Amino acid sequence: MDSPAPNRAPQAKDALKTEEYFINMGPQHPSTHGVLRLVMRLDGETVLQVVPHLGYIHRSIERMCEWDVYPQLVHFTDRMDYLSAMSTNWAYVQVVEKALGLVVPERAEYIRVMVAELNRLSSHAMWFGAYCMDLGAASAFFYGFRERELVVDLFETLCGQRLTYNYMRIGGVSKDLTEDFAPRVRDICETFKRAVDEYERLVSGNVIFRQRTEGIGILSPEKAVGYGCGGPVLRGSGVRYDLRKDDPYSVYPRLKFDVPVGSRGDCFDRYRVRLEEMRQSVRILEQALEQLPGGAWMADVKAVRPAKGEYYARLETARGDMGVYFVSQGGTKPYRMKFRTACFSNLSCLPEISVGWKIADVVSILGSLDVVIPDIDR
Amino acid sequence: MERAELLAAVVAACPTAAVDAAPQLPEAKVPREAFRPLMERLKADPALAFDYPMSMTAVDWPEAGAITCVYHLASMAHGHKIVVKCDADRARPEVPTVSDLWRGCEWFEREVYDLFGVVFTDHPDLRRIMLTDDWVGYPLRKDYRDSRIAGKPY
Amino acid sequence: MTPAPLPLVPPPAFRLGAFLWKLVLTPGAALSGTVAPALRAALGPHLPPAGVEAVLALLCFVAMSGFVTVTALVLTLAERKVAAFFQNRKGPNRVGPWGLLQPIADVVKLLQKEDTVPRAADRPVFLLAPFMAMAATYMVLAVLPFDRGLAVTDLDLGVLYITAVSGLGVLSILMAGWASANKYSLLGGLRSAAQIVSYELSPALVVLSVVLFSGTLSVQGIVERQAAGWNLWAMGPMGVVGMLIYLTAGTAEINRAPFDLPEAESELTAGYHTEYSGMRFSMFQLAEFMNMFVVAALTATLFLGGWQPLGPLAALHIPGYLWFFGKSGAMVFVIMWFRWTFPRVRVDQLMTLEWKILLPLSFLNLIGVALWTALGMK
Repeated sequence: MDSPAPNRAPQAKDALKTEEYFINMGPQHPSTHGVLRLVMRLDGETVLQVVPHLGYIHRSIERMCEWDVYPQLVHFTDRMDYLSAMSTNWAYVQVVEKALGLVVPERAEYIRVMVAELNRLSSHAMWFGAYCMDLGAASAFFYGFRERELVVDLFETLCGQRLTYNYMRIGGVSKDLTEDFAPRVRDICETFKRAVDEYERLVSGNVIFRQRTEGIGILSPEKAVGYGCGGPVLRGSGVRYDLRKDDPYSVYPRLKFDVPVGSRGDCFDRYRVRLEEMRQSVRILEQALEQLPGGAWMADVKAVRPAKGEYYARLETARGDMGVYFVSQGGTKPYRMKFRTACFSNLSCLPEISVGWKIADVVSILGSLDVVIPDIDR
Repeated sequence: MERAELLAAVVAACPTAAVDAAPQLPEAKVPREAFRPLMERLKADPALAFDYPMSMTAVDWPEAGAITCVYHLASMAHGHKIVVKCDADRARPEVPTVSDLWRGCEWFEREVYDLFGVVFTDHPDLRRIMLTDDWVGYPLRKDYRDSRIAGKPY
Repeated sequence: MTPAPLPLVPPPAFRLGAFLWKLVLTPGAALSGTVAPALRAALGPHLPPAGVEAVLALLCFVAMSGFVTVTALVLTLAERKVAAFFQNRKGPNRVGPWGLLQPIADVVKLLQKEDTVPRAADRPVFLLAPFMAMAATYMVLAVLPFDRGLAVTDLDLGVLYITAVSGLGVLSILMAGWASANKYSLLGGLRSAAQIVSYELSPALVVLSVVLFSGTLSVQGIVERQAAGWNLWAMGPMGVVGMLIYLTAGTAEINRAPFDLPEAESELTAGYHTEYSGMRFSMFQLAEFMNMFVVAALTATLFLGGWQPLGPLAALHIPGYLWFFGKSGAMVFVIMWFRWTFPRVRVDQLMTLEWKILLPLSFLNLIGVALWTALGMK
């Protein structure tokens, strides 16, 4: 132990020497939701610094895209945000359609809206479960999964997959809706209306839950925008910005829904925004089901050879702003394909907002950002 | 702000910028010296107010000997978007950082550094982000070869 | 009781049938009134008095081990069934009828696991820690009154003894946390130390209030005093408050959710037992389950009348140990209920709860009980 400086009397502070230390959370850790690694510098339980280390599941999807022709690239997007793969599928096909100037049949657009919203529901339900699990409430996990199962089962009948759907095609969707789709979606809508209320009753008012989320990990609106956050993370901070409204695509302008926002930007606001989004998704689904037109579900696509140039399009996945940028040289393969994913930007604010909190709060904050690691690493 | 108006404002701020209103999003290509002042202007000017870093990436052009950094910016207040491009010399790629203007660009730039080898000067924490620290080469460059990769690139 | 090593000399009017009937109805009287004197008489001529007592203690230990094993098996199954009940699941239902043999399967699995010791671990301490955990639990079990006269021993200072030894459990957790040479384990161990030291206080004060009210330090004495009415209501409002404090703080003292910070799965992977495997790991689990039982049993003893029947139901002549196990079982269910419905509190909130809420409250409670007793409201 260091001896105290000779010119002053030893004090309790000198006698009790503390030391900072590092803890390595991940890449295998129950609450990093995959293979994220956080190196934390700690003083006791207090977090002084968080350094995320990414790339444990980096597959270089962007480079692989340069190998394959456009229609073959859809399945790569499934492997990014695998919890809302319908939206990531869509983000990709949307930009190629824009590049081709392709008009997608209206029925296909409605189908896309519906499956994307269903996917948002399943993704948020699963997030609800996982977040409660992060906070130590093990039972709520099963409630989230119970509802998610309905959606996943529906997708299984629709496209044969439960997770990596590969359902969207350039120009439409791969298969038409099954006959039981509409009644099942109505059933899901009813179930979710009840379920979200149940979630609220179960968790929202719980004293411990409120203590663990309120005022924790506050992300100011300016920072949220500056970090390029999107989706519920951005809206939780009070920024009313939803690409479905503010950069409208597909048939969203014809559908009525609200964009819920938080007021303080803490974990609890992000939680509330997601629950409210689930209610709004149910609204969208009901309207879309009403308006669903007949006709073709796939455009007549000859050859996918976008003209030379650069294209960017984005849409709102369950996690936020997903953008796809690609450079075409006029061939059948992209020259450069860039996926700007929501989780990458959402996670980038973690080091800033988790400083000064306890280890348990970092878990809470990370959970409230709702990251999917393959979406970050690509 | 309309597309033409926007690009006029960019030219006013940076006369050396080559603007193009034809593509899907308005584009401005600026030389490296003018890049940083223009970006500061885009962020600070209340009429432009580009506060949201939509995306940032790079494209490798071996024939031209350049790596083009591509910035997609959006404005929350005005709803307009712009693409700013800046060429880095492929032999010695260096571009000034904008991570202090848009914090989100900190990780975007790290990714470009990692996969393209573009050095962002004055970046606070320029380390590899995806690959291991001892990785050799920059996988998204067109001339990157790896024995583990099969097939033929574009 | 297991057969004695030396031939028993039956008392003059010994009839096996009557004895067994007595054993079922009033095991306390049968064992301490018939068996123990018979054993003493049989062993007396062969051994010095201390040797006789040692043999009796050994027999008690064997009996207790049997009890612990059976209780732990029942509790593991009960926990999984209760958890399933809270989580819309069925729980274990494959091994044996209604999954009743599941604990056996678990034990067999754990026995087969490799017993790993990290290379950097402090080997002797690491190996010893699980046994310490068990030892602490056994020590409390020694004074638990299962029925009238049915306890391993009835100390005059039983309550003081319980308060003293129940804190020993922390030693094992500290040892495990320290010796594992793992930061997660260390954090878990230190959390546990802080937690148990804090949460010793309010239960002790509550126990003190019960002692004050009953006028005895003997656990059996406290139960005897509740013949007229359980402390829960005999102590007036202080009884209810005291029991709630005791149950809350007791849950915290045994590191059960929502106070399971030392093993907080989503923060510290598994906390102090991260590095343990196989039987050593299961020793900790066993200790945890037994501690849960002990806290439940003590709550039942101190506030719910222990083996005393409920007022008018005394006419039914239900054996006392059934009352005891019934009440303890109900308390065990409540503790499990806590676990499966609450999120985990944060470490500083945990301390706030004890030092700012429970401790002042238990002081007030103590004063209240003192006044209540002084006013003669017995």
